[in-house]
Amino acid sequence: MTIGAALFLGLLPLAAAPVVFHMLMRRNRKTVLFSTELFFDSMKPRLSFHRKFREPLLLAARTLLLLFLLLALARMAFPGMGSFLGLSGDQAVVVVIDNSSSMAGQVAGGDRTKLSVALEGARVLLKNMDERGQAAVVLLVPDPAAARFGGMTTDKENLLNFLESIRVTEATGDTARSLLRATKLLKDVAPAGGGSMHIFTDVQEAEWTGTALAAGDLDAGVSVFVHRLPSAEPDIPNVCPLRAELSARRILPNQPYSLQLLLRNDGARDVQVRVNRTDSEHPLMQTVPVAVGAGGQKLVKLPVQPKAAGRHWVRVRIEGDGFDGDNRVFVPYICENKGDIFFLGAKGTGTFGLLPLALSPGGDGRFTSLVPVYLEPTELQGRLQKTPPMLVVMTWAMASSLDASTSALLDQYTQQGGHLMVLPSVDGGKSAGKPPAWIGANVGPLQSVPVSLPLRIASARSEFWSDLRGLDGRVRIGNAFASKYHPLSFVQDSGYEPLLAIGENHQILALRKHGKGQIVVSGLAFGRTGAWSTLPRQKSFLVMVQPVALGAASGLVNANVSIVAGQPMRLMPGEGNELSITTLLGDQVDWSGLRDQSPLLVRSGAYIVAMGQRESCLTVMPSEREGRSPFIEGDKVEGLAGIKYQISTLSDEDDFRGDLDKSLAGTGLFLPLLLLALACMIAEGLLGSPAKKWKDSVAADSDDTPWSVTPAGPDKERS
Amino acid sequence: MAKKLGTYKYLPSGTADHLRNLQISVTKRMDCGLQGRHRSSTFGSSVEFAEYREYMQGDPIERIDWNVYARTDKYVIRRFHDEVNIRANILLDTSESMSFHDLGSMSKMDYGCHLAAALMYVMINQGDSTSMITFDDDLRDIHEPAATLGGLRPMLKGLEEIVPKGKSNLEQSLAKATEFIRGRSLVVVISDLLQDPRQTLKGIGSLSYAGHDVTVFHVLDPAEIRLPQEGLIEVECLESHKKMNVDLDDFRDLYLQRVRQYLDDVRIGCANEGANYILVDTSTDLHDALLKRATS
Repeated sequence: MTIGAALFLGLLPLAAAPVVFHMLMRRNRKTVLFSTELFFDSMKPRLSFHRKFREPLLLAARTLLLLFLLLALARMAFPGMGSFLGLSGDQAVVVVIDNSSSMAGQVAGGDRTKLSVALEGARVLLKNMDERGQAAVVLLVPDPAAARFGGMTTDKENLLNFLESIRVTEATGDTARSLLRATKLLKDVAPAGGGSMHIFTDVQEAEWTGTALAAGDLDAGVSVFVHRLPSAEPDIPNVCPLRAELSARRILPNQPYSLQLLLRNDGARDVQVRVNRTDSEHPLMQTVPVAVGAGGQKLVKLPVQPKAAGRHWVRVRIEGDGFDGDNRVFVPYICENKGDIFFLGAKGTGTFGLLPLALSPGGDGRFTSLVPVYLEPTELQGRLQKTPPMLVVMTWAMASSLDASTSALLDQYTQQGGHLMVLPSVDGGKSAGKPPAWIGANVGPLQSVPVSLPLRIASARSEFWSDLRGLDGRVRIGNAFASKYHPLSFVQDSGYEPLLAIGENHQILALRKHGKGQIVVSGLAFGRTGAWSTLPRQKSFLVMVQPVALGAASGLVNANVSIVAGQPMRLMPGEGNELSITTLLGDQVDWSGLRDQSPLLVRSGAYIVAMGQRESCLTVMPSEREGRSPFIEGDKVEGLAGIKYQISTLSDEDDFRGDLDKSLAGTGLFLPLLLLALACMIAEGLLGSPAKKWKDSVAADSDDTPWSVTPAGPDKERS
Repeated sequence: MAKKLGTYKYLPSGTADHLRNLQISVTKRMDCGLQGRHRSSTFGSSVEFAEYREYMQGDPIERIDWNVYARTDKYVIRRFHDEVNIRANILLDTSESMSFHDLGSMSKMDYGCHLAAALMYVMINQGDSTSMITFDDDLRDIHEPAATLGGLRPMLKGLEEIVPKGKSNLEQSLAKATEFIRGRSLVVVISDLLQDPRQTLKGIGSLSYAGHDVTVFHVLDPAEIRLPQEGLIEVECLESHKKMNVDLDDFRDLYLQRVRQYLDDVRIGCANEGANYILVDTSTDLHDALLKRATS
């Protein structure tokens, strides 16, 4: 505004001059006695209209004419939306950045990710703020990897640096929590209300359909702006991992395991992806092509066979689908050292048959990391305390003849996580009494059949059979028949799960949890000759017996926990309140502290979580909702339905910068004001001119009779 | 004769002298028992020949035209128009609207009184008789006919006592006057006629149909015709006391247009009813106004 303009601004009161003149020059109404009302009656309605509207309109037109003219000459300009956007003065601004997994997708009409455009938009916004303005940045997914940042600040440099550290996560945002935090920040700065909130998001339904911000949460005067990042439509459907599980058994070197990966196709057509796998011992990537049907799921088994004890990981990456934000899976596991198997009894095939060979083909743990050790019951106590074995195997006869202390010792051993197997002796040793009650089972009399009977899988769903279960869910053990067997009987509510049966009534192999350990009871001896059964001759027998030593009841040994990125760690096994996190692979989070204060893991990763003496493997999976949930296209965001907000599309930060500059700069009003003054002048001319046309029209309306004679004067009367 | 009249408000001696030579005649035939100078509708003994008629038994023998008998051998009698004097009835409007006075030299009431006094004087001066009736929405003062100046005095005094009041109703008043006035006479209506022209003309029509020679003096103030006021005024009607706001700057033309229309309606209506219509404003010289009637 120039000095001349200021002068005109000072002259603004002159706009009231017409009103003053109107008041001064106002004609006083005088009363005139007249002989008749005959000629006035018909005029009355028009008089009222005229008096009521014309003069006020005329006055208004004159006043506005002067007002607009003075404002135009004063070079008035619309102040722009700076204050409205919260970018001017000492107002408060909170920028909310959606850093959820979907922001890794491409922005529509561009080749950049949505997050990069959002960050650039936020950067432009903060750079255009007044120096006194306070601002803060809130993330939709709290990211511990991003630079630590406190509350509201006037230090824009710090905020800009914080923006630099923001990376996309693999979690789904918690909009309600983030927006509440944003409102709290605003309230702290301006308790009386005010400020603005700028949300940069792709408005994904998974995050914005629930109530994100209720009307009562937002203070009066807070303006909410949603800057929507439009999402490019992917050409290929998305395939996301739903589950990645390694065997729940104890993992020993050289044992074969499989990583079960469940994939889901979110699209409406079939898609073929490549599942790339590497692990801590095999850096060379192996690729498995997998076809997933439209809208379907597919279970993929990836073999894992560690060579050495220690902490290991498996990295899986999916390629060839439409969304890259949920394609990484990291699975940690802990491989233990070689373990002993205590056989209570004499060494030789007459007692345990082929079982020791099946458990440890080499006899020294070369192939299965299990080493058979033959002990007398009297030696058991000392060995158990020295090196607890993987498994203790004894015959029913031995179990029946155990003294009380050995029995209690074995009970304690299994309660604390040890594994026990009880089976008949191959040579048919007789029981002297009853087995200990804590075993919860016993064998019946020997059944010998002239024609061998087929063995039947009693419970195909049991974890025990996981290595022999095919992708179709069936368990195949080959052609196994039995000629002799002891039918098992169980104490009521002992919790045994039958694994093998003969016919409908005779259970011959069963499993149950006992404390933290497991007990496997068998009515079948595994002799070499096949006098009892042909099962030991089957290749599947080798696979079948491994769970007896490594554990087969779910959650017994390996506490492999899997959570989705962004979920808090609540159910980690272990004792105490101290917790430490060690990163094996993925997002680097090495942390130690109180359990309640553990950081949020927002990206895929393989972690070892230690609580007390217990170490657990933690797999953080990417959020499966991010690649599946559609985006809100319209202007109505359900999550913000309770509040007033403005939504705009931000696809290019240059356009955003231009719009912002325009809105901040304001708009010159010289021409519009001049046009308005001109319009007022025209209106004043029309209203103020002697209204001959007006009167003529009134006269024409009032009487249709044409004038033929002009009387009035007495001298014309006679004509 | 003027000296005998003394000093009257509405007939000053100067005015009387000025009117002395003025004669007012009628166009219609009058009937009256007295011999006069005006042609009657009946046959009589004047010198003006009217027609021949075959002698009928009972006709006076002296009326037989013997010259015609000598030529045609038929008995015919000659008939002559009768000549009678006339009685003038002055109907003076005394409604409140007649008190209006603005641009004229006097109020309409005063002007009407002057006019009535002058007319009565002229009639008596030419040997005819005259009476006066005042009215508003009904007949008010009824003065007996007088043929002498002595008989004129009460009527002149009566004029001076008139106070304009009440609403006018010409239709009703003139209808009653028609019933009241017997025979055929000269009826002079002096009024501002400010009411619906259709009602006014009905009253005038009733007089005309009764055979009277009707003359209407339409008295208006020049202000009523020209509307000299300006700006926003509040008009209060003299008769109804009704008030209304009027911006005369904007609506003068419309007013004048409506006045013209009204005057046209009255003038044409009177002509259709066979009445003499004379519009006078109160600034018009009295003699000029009477001259219009005398020369009509």
